[in-house]
Amino acid sequence: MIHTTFNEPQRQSKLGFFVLFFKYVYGLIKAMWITIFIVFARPHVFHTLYVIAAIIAIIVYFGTISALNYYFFTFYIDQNKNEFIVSHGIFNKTKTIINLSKIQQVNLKQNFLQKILNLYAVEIDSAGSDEKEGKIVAISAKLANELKVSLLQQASLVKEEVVREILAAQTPKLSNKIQISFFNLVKYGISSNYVRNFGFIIVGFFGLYEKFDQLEKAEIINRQEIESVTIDNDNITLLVFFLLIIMLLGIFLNLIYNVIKYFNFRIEPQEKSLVFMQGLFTTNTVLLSTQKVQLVKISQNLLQNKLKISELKIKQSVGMETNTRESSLLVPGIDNNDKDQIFKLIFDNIFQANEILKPNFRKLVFTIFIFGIIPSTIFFIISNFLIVQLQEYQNFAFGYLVIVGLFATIYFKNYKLFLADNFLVKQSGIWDIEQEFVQVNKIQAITTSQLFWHKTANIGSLTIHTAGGNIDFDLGNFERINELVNIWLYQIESSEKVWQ
Amino acid sequence: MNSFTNTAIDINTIPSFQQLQFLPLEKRFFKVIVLNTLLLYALLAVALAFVLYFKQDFLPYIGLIISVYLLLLVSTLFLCNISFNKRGYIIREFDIIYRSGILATNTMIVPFSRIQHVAIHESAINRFFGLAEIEVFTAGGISSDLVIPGLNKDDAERINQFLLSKIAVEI
Repeated sequence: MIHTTFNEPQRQSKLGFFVLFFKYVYGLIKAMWITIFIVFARPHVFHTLYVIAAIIAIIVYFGTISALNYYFFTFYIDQNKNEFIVSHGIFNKTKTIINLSKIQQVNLKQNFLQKILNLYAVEIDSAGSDEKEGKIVAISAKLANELKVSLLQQASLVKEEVVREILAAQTPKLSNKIQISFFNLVKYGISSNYVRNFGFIIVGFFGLYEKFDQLEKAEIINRQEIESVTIDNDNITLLVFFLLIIMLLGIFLNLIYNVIKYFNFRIEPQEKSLVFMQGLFTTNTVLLSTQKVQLVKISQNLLQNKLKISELKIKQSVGMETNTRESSLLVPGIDNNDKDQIFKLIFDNIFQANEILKPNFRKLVFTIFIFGIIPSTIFFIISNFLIVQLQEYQNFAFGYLVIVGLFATIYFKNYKLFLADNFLVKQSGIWDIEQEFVQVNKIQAITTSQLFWHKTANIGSLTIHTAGGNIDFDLGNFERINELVNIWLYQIESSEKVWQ
Repeated sequence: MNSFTNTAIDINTIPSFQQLQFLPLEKRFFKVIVLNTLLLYALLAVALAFVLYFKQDFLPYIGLIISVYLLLLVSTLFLCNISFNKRGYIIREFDIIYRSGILATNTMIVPFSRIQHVAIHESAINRFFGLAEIEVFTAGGISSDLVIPGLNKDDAERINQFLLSKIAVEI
């Protein structure tokens, strides 16, 4: 029986003042612990009187804002409209209104201070976004439970679905299960994460250079001696050999890591979900509801293309799960047939492009300008006028420009937006080519953008917001983009289909 | 399955949002923008004064510094004016649209069926002018939350109630 109605705006428990107060104090300590440590460890640095005055000032200040925050924080439930309303703020007031039917979960939490004071924090979880607005910091246990029940009256619908899902997961499997063979894992291990490995090489190189520097400073080695060694073929081959070893080492480590992590990776289709299992030492199991999938990314580089494998990343909405890692699932080294099969399981049909949108030439110009011309110009200015020693590296700067030009051209050629009836796919990348698949009914909001000097050229940008991330497409035909936006809005708004 | 159809969509019959007339924000809101800018520049002036006080060697350049400061202030106010005039919103039958921007025109559309919840913000300065801003939350994360500032307090409440009524209907 609910004894308390929350129909009238009410405040939190009075003891909540202390919870707020200590939250501020804790924040201050976390930010300034070094200063505080110095103040107490070396008393003669700061005059004791000043320290005491500062402490009093801090207590008064935090006490006042805690009291004011407590006073201005009210919440209530409007039964007629089925809404939960929270008002807070001292100078900048905010009133947040949440329809009860949108609340998926209500969590009661206690940190150690709240445990001592016998209070609970109530956290309200709705779809997707981080729900800090609906967080009540301190109410008594009895009130907390009653509030939770009141808020979740409407949520029974959602709960039912979860129960159904769990039941469905226990029914026997329908179609064949998909297995990633060991051979495929090896293929994936040697062909993935090149960019990351390359980054490690650069970091390693600088690390070594620093070590040399330190050794020189310790006078263990002599810089003159090393520099007098002429750069001839032998030394260059040695350097190249050395870099190759590092790269192979990186690939090897990547291989070991991936084989262990994704060992015996398999997918078992259920009625409305997929069960993912992987792991060598412990088996990691994840249940993915196909309805909750927001975004699918398929990634493949040139080497993987030759090896006939690709990487699949599935992003789902985070609503129920508290573990954010589970919002993104990775399928390594999947071959094309299995990939099509998973696709069909999640999206009900394979993707067939009706239309391709390409970016305007200006995107290429813009990319080269930002990544090539601006850094090179800055470098040339610095090396010619400020730090003259850098002039000998000017050839490298030209080389950099050429490389940027090449990469930018490849990036521009791969940058496309594919369209089908219920789908859109954004393709991008230089070495790892990534395709992001979004169903139209998973779109949450759309933003279009056009710089004023692009108006006559009729080009502009598009951003599709989903619960699994944003998809951007820059500098396409703006008239066509607007037409597509109208079509998508029409499809979303005239459909009865629930998106989640 | 009998009532399922899938005829082609004729683009000309679909509503288009580009030609619509956007509703402007309340004129008083421009004063709020100006006040905020002046406040920022006042702080900047104080900071500059401190710097000049402690580093006397910059003093001969004071004429240059003041002219640059004034130039920045005037151009900021000019840009604020452009920004204010470009902002607008429309509430249609099934979605809400907000347009803003200075160099670029950004138009953001949120269908009612994707609204999770709404909020009203009244900052101290806004409250003084009787203005408020609404925030519409979607499941797409912070970047897809729509914010419309510079509304009358009552209008903001009414718009919120309207949006909430649209959420409740579909359940």
